[in-house]
Amino acid sequence: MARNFNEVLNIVIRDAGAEGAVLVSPDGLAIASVLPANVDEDRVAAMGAAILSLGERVATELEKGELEQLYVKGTKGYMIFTGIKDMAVLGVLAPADAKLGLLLMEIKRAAKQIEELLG
Amino acid sequence: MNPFKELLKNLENLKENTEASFTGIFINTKPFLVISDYEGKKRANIEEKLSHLIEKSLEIEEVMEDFGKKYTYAEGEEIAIFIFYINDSITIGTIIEKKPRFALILLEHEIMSNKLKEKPDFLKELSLLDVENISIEELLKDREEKIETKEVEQEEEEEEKTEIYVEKDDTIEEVPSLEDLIQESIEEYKKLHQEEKELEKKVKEERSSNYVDPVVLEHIEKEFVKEIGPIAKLIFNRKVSELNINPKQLKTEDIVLLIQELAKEIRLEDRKEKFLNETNDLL
Repeated sequence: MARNFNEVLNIVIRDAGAEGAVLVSPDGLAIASVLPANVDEDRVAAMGAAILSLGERVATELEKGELEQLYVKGTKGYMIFTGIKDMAVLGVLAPADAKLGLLLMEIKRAAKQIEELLG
Repeated sequence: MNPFKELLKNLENLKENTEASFTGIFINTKPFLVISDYEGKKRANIEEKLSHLIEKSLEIEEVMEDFGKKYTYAEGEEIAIFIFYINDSITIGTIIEKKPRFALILLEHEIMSNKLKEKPDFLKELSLLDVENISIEELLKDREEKIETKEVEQEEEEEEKTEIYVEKDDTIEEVPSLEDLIQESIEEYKKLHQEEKELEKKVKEERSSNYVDPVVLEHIEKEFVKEIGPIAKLIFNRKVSELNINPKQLKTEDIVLLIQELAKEIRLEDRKEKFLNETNDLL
């Protein structure tokens, strides 16, 4: 199963022009990752789970359902975190010149595949 | 104008233009100036949760060095959360409870941020505020009182000077005759009348040149973004270039033509109509 997850992550990176991707458990531990050498897998995983969870708390307070996605934009690029039901968080790192529309589309596709793998 | 009052006004504009239900300035992750549709405990909870989210998002620099964060955006079916980083200490946190228009949200926050950055001294003052031990009401009141006190002191100083001057003059000069006083008044009146005429002439000239304040372009662009979405900026800039519009010498006819050309780019009739209605008000 780990190989399957890595395959999905690699496809996102290849097709969307991302720099890295990580699949995170709800408690912030990395399930699978394909990340650049200078990026700490554990830190990205912990950040992803925490920040999405904090965003969801705002949505819950206002009774506005689930938060589908959260991303941080910086001069270096994007960090995009997508919730996969209550099962996992998909984190993707992309450069500043990434085509955001394509990226989000590929992430959605990958999230669906991961959801199926997780059953 | 009192910079805190101006800050409040800009925040009100941001809230209105983005149709937000909550927007606020956070200093060192603590809420400082907030405009919210929520009240009481709900408002306090939202402020607290948003504060935590901002705090967590700032840690991104530890995950990826020199990430250079600009904004954080989170979206659900019926909610959007937007955090815009003005600098390391000051952020704007906004919540919109409907299907969001991302490009518009980003544009409005950039406008507000740019306005703040035009006043680096005030920005610095904001960054150093101890939010937990001061209230915005005090800041507004304090500044106004200080300004009023200063004005009163200045007036008193001038009165003193006048009194001294009069005292000195009383002993030396003769009191002018009534005819002299009347003549003086007539001269004064003629002078004022002449100045008024010159001013009228100037205003007429300016009106006939039909020059428009360049800020109108910003408003038109904003309205266009609302109707057409993220691609609006690209089309807007292209049209301005094609029509050879010079923002420093904007004429009414330029604006009319630009609005017409932009309206042609809006496919849906009701959106086109809305755009035309909103921009006609600007003229």
